[in-house]
Amino acid sequence: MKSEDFIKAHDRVKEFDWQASYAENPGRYPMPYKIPAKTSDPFRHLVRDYCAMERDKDDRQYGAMSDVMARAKMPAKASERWTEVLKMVLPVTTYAEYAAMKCTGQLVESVANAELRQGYLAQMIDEVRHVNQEAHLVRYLAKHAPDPEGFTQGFRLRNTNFITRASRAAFDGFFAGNPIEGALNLQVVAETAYTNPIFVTLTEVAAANGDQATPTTFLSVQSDETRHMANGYATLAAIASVEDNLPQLQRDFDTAFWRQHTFLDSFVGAVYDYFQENRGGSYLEAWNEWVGNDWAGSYIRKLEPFGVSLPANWEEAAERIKWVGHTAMMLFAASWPMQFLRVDPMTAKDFDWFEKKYPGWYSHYGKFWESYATMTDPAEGRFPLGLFESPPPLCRVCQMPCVFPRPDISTVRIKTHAGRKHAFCSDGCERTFAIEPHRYANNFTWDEHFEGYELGDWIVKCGLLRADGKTLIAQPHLKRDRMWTLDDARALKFEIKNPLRDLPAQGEVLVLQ
Amino acid sequence: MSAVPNDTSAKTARDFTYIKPQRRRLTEYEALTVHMQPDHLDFDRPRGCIDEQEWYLLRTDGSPLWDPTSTALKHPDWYSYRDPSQHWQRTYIRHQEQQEGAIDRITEDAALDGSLAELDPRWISQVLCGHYRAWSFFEYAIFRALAPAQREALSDTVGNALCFQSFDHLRHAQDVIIYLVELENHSDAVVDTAGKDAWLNSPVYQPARRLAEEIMANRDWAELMLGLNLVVGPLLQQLAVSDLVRRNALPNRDAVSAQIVMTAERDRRRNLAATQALAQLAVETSNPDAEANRAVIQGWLDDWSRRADAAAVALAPAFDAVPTKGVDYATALAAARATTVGIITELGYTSILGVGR
Repeated sequence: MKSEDFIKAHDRVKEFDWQASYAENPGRYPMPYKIPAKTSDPFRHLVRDYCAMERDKDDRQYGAMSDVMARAKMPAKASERWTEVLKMVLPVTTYAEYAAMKCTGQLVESVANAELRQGYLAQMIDEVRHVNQEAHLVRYLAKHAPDPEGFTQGFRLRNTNFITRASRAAFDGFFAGNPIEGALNLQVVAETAYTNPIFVTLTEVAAANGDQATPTTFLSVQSDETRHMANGYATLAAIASVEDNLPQLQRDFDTAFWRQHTFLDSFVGAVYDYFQENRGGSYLEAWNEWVGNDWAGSYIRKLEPFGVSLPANWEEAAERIKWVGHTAMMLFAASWPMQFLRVDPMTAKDFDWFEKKYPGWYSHYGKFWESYATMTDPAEGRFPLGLFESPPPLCRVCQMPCVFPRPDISTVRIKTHAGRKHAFCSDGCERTFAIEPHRYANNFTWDEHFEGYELGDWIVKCGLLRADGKTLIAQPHLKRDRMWTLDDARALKFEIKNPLRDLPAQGEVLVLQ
Repeated sequence: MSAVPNDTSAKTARDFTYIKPQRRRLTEYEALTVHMQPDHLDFDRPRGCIDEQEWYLLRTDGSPLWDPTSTALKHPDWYSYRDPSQHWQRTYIRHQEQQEGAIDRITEDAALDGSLAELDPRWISQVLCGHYRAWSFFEYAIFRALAPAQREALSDTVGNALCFQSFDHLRHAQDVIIYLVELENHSDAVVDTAGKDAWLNSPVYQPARRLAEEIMANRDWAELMLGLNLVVGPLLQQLAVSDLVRRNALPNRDAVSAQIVMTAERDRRRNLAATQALAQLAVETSNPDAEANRAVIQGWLDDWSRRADAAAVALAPAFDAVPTKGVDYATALAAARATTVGIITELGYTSILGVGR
């Protein structure tokens, strides 16, 4: 098609909507925003060129994986430390994509603009693409990685692992609320701020650690994300152009940022910094480049003339970023028998890297990792969480342990609302709850679900045993010998507790109107 | 390279064994689709100390993220649904890229060999602009309705089928526009705005427009799927697009329109098969709500048949506008009704449209 014809066709697809005369659609989603009639999809895709573009990308990605990489047995040559964490990362990102698909369905319904609606449709199919790509990568690694245990169970364990549960709490925000709240969580925060550190920079870590399958998949995913960021910008600019929208917009933006920050920065930080073997940059460096400079310093600042400001807790987040990944990883490693991957101890080389990248790291986390290294042998009969006097409670909003940014300066608070006790990890989560407490009425924490379970019983119940029926999927090392078994776990005599039960409340949540 | 010991890895499954395949082996479609949507009633239920259904974050109005009341049908396990086409994104996009490529090539050939310049101006103005372009708004409405329907569907396998069908209809709607844009380079008879004028104002299209607006306002994803594919497709789209456009296209020397419609018909056959599978699942004997579902579906089929038939009846004048007629309206309507009745009765329901063939 000639370019002038393409432009003409694109102009005409903008005119598809009409004013209903017979059956007004009241809208199935609450929409506390006015949407201006004139907005634009800056990418101007038609279905025809979209299909050709995506097919080409699919052929390149799946072709490479099924041909050269599989024949060369490349997954088996990747760093095992790195490959292990993909067992958790991929089910988490796959659900984010699935939730994104649901978000775009809401946007098609609610944003009364034919051009944007068709842009959202392309994103909707993109998200199906990403779900399939990432699930395909899980299956590919289950087939080709040296240790498939964990890859084959990741999706099944989504709601029984306390970290993957927290990912649900973040990504449900893509489509649980009003469609613009969803777009802010998905397109404006998760995609625009975080997909570059996840799908671009993290792939550099993967490649440096011998993993070519993840970059092949993730970079193909990321090639769609630019369009999604543009969708987000077009949506945000349209909403911000109506002055009456601004108070609600800033409120939804603030909560969206905090909801994504609390999970993504601690999770991705831990993945990024603790599973590199061949070490390069740090998550803090990647965050400063992509989230600090690119997103906050450029993308969001450009919206300031429209009345959109940086999120309310931005400065706090920027300060927390130095520690949240380390703290999350410490809790993750401390509870290793409850995970579905192997976490090997940090080496002297790792210690040097951490101190260089995060000055002061050793004084806060060094002792833990030294102790961790002494507890990897089942003959020792110890695991780190068992040594904690009481594990931290889990946050009602983000479901992460209330121990951030660091255990010694934790911002945890215990409050009650409607006769129920809640822990919150931060001001941001307490405020998010206080705006709409009714949305957490059916929310339970991992502790509340499983308190009273003996560790071994819990492991059996959740299916965290290998095919032999006795060896744990999770291990605190990557060694071939001396793997922990169910008997070793039972010998720890560890019972899951709900720390919230015994913690005194510090008052009522002040509900915000 | 290290690896876990052989004695633990030897018998290790290397696939998603928790998915129950429909046939003997897990297909790629099933592996990449099933259980992508959390199932709070079963698969994803923690089954710890708490019996209540859990949601991390409820909707603004306090209802659950996936709501069993999003359809009047009831089934204990919508995740057992399988789309017979077994499409996942890659196979679906490859299929649509091939269809769009075929349309693109035939349009280019018809432009170069002079076929487009030779088209009867009355065919262009009265049928392509006056009717087919008007019909593109109906297709657009289905795209819009199915996008939120996929959001609400109670399993990933159903949601993905709806998602792909949503894309089908926008593809078709855009194809009409793209073809008319190309035709403008070869004929002065193209008046693109005629379609929207007819859609908004002509009595021929008001019953269809009413139906389109009702479709967009409908909130039951299963009703939409069944109504659209068991009734609207074989009755109304058959008449408005397959009969009026495709069967008249070749007598009017328009190979491109015929090709466009044939790709839409291929999608329609796929969506019909997907819907027949859903209808059968809803009333399978193991479903305790099968009989209640059967009554609901019967009510839907009657209601949608009535409304789609009214839209079909109103289309009669559009057939009169065809310059060289390949099919007459009465014959086409009778055949479309009979096909629809056949589809409905084959599933064990009665039809208000009469006796099938």
